[in-house]
Amino acid sequence: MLNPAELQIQLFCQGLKIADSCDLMSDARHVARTRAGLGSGLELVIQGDLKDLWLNVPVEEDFVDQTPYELRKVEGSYLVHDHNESQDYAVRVPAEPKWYDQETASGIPMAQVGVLQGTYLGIYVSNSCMYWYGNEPNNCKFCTTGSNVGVNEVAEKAIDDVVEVALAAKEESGVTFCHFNTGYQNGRGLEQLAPYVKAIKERVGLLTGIQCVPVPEDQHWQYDAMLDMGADHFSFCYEFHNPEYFAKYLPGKEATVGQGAFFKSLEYCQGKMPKGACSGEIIAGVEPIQDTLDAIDYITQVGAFPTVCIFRPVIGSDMEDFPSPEYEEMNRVMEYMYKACRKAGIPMGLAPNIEVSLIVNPDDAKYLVPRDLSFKLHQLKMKLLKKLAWLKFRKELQPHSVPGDVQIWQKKRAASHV
Amino acid sequence: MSDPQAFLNVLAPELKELVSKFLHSLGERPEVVDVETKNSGVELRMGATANKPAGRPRILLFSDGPKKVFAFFYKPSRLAFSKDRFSYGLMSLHRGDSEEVLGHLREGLQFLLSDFKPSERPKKLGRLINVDIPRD
Repeated sequence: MLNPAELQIQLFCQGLKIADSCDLMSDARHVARTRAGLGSGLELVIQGDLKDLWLNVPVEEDFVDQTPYELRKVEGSYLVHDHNESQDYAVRVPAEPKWYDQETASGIPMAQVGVLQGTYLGIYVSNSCMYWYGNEPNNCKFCTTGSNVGVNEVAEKAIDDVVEVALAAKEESGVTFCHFNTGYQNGRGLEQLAPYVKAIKERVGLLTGIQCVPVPEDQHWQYDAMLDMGADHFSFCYEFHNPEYFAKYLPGKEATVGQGAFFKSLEYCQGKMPKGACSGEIIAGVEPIQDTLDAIDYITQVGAFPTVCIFRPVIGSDMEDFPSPEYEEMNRVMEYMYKACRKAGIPMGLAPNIEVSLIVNPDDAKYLVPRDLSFKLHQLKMKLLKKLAWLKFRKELQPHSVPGDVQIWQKKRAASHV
Repeated sequence: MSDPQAFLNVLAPELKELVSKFLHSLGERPEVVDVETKNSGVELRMGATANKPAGRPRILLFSDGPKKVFAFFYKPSRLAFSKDRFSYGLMSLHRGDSEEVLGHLREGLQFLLSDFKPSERPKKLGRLINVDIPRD
């Protein structure tokens, strides 16, 4: 019998077939190819005694044909049946939020503005990542973002539409966190996001996260500006710790900013924020495992938390023909991640109702270690910290003014021309 | 083949003639190519044969006006309830050298028939989707 995290990792690696007994049309969120690089599957929740685990399970890729796991609906409840071990696991299929089908005042279906990824609202604010442009695109090889803008969502997001969707997601789905992503925007990603972040803070009241390709060191003031807008979190997706893999599979990032820019930006931002406020995002299952473990060590030593995606050979990507990773290796990575976070004192699971379905959250991986005395003491510590952290989060979840000036970029440019 | 006339009638005469010629040529091929008329345009897929089920890849031909035809290459979700479309890229075809346009369409067809084999990917097929792809 697998524990919840083991099952989560198995499902990420092997995917899930859908039995005819399932009624996902009525019961599930639609499987939308959002702009998040590795997401394309079915949102599921595995029930567990320590916590429930959210995951976005591969269901579309060809490797799923070989999986022993099958989703079934039995007497109104969903379960995952393991054909190899003849085991059943209780799962929940999160329902599609009602607001997905509502329209904003400007007539845009809300699900084309933002979608839930786990329990948070994910919004990709503008045109596709610029690595996709040109006759020979420099896109990250695992990603299909540029091929999907306009296919499943509108390309340009108006601030009022984003606010309206965030309000609906907060009110109807209990969302506490809005994550913004831009892809590469020629160094203008942060500037592009600033008015959205400010609007969410002032008109909605949510925690906000930002994911942009890093700016050069002499532009680090832009991160300060984003903190003034109310940014609560920065994530830096450098994907591969091994520089050769970084260069090979992320040609755009290699050509425009280089791996070092990710490290410098992560260190700069984390240095200004509470421990665990920033994340380094990596993909496990492509580069040698030791490189992934080294990445986890680096990220946690900086004081950030590692977000580790299990590689998925997404349909339509350049890496579509790559194999899905081996379960044993991914299990080892996730156990290592949890232990590294504990060793470095990175808080886990403090933020209210933020469950990321595209990764194994550090907090999810606690199922992978023995529940000895030190585990129990750590659990107790996190519980106390969570109560303290709620004091800050409660304020952030109310609309409030922020000092940031969205004109600062223009002013800096004007000043530099004088 | 369902009647694609409504889609063709939107196009300027020169482009209409080219696309008509291309669609007509599908019936002369040894492979079975299914052509389905949709509200959004005309969709092509490799049809089923005695030994093989119909292919998953699709090409949706659509236009946003008389002067341009787009060919959207994608695989639909294999889940009955899903609306997702897995994009392989977009080809944008304008009036111009008719042989060139037909050549692009034929290369696209070859890619479709290869089950979107990477080595058969047409050079003209852009990865970036910068227009909204219509849905039925």
